[in-house]
Amino acid sequence: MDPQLKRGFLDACVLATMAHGESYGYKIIKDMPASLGMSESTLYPLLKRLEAKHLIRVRKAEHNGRLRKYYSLTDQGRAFLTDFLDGKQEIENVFSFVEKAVQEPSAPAADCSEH
Amino acid sequence: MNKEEYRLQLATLLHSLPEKEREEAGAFYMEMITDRMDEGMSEEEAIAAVSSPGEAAQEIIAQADAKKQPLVSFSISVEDDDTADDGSETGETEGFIGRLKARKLSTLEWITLIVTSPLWLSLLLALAALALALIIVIFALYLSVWVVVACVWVTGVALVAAAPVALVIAVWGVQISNIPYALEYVGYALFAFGGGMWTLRGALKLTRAFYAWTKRSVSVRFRKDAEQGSVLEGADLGTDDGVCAATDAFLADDRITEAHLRTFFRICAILILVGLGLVLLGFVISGFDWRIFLTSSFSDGRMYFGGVEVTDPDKLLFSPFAWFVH
Repeated sequence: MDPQLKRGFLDACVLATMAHGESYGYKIIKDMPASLGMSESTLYPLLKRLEAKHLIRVRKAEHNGRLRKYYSLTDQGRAFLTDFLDGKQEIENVFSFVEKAVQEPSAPAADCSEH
Repeated sequence: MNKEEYRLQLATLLHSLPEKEREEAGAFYMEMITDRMDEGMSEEEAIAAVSSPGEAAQEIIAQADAKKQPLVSFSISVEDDDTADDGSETGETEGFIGRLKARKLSTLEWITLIVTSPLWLSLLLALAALALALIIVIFALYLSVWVVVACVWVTGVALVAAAPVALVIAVWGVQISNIPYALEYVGYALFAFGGGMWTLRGALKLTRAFYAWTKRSVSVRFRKDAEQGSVLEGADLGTDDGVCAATDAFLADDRITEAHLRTFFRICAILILVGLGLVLLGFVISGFDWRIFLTSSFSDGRMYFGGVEVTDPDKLLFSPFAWFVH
């Protein structure tokens, strides 16, 4: 997948793991779809970026006698997810257009040459 | 590798970042490893499951680099003459400069331009010369800093190389039974080795710091066909990227950790002090005889090492006199 596109999807997925309340690093990794191949090295900068954009907030709390970081959605983070879902139709349109074009190669090609 | 080693290796790889960010990244990865261990994995398994310190550091540094703004930015435009003309002819034919660019001046304007050329041409040349001089000065300043760094390297290498030579001279002191002189040279040898190592470390740090500064503050971009928006970026000035990567790999080696290096340099510092102490001790034993600091030879062939005559120069260890004097 195009890295720029993948980054946007990963952002949304990580935010979605916090939709039902706060989560922590290892749980986020486990909750993510395996097909997206989320690793710690990707997650750490991603969380920092989301925090810098005020989409998530972070708190430290004790767990088993050590500190653990918990991440939760801000209002902006929720708004981001809503916007993302609103884009679903758009993305589907793009995919169905490309799909159609690939399946019937002659018609769209003729169209393009006119311009 | 255990958790502590993982943390140290990550910290070493992130040496160019501020302390706070290093600790934060370390804490994140420690949490990920501990969470897995709480689930029943062994320490080894948990560390194998998380990203390697190398991958972790690479992503973190990539993000840190993306945030930085360069201080100086060179932009070299490689524009096709045809495309440039196509774009500018429509809009910019108004005004003198616009018409000049489009080569559409009236005859009178052409004549005026040519008649006044001694004036504007010389002014233009002067401006160009000034700009060139400024660029040369900046580059000279930049180069001189690298020369200083190179001098520090040379000093370090020379000091370390001087240590074995001083040891040989110390043996000569023993051979002519001048113990204070021998002690003095053992002292010099230790001082030169310890000091040389510290100097080399300083040189490495200077090189890295200055290289990092260069990378951060100067970016060279090659721009081709700006109108089409296809910008090729990332032509960095760095040529010694390989050197930095090599030292990083060396430092990240499992067997040589930051702790080992710290111990080594602590020993070097002790060597410097012991060396100075031995020189002082030699001076005290000699009864504060300043001659132990003298190595002299006279025109009649007599030689004195620290005030004691060398009766048989050929017999000295690795004697240079055995090779030259027959």
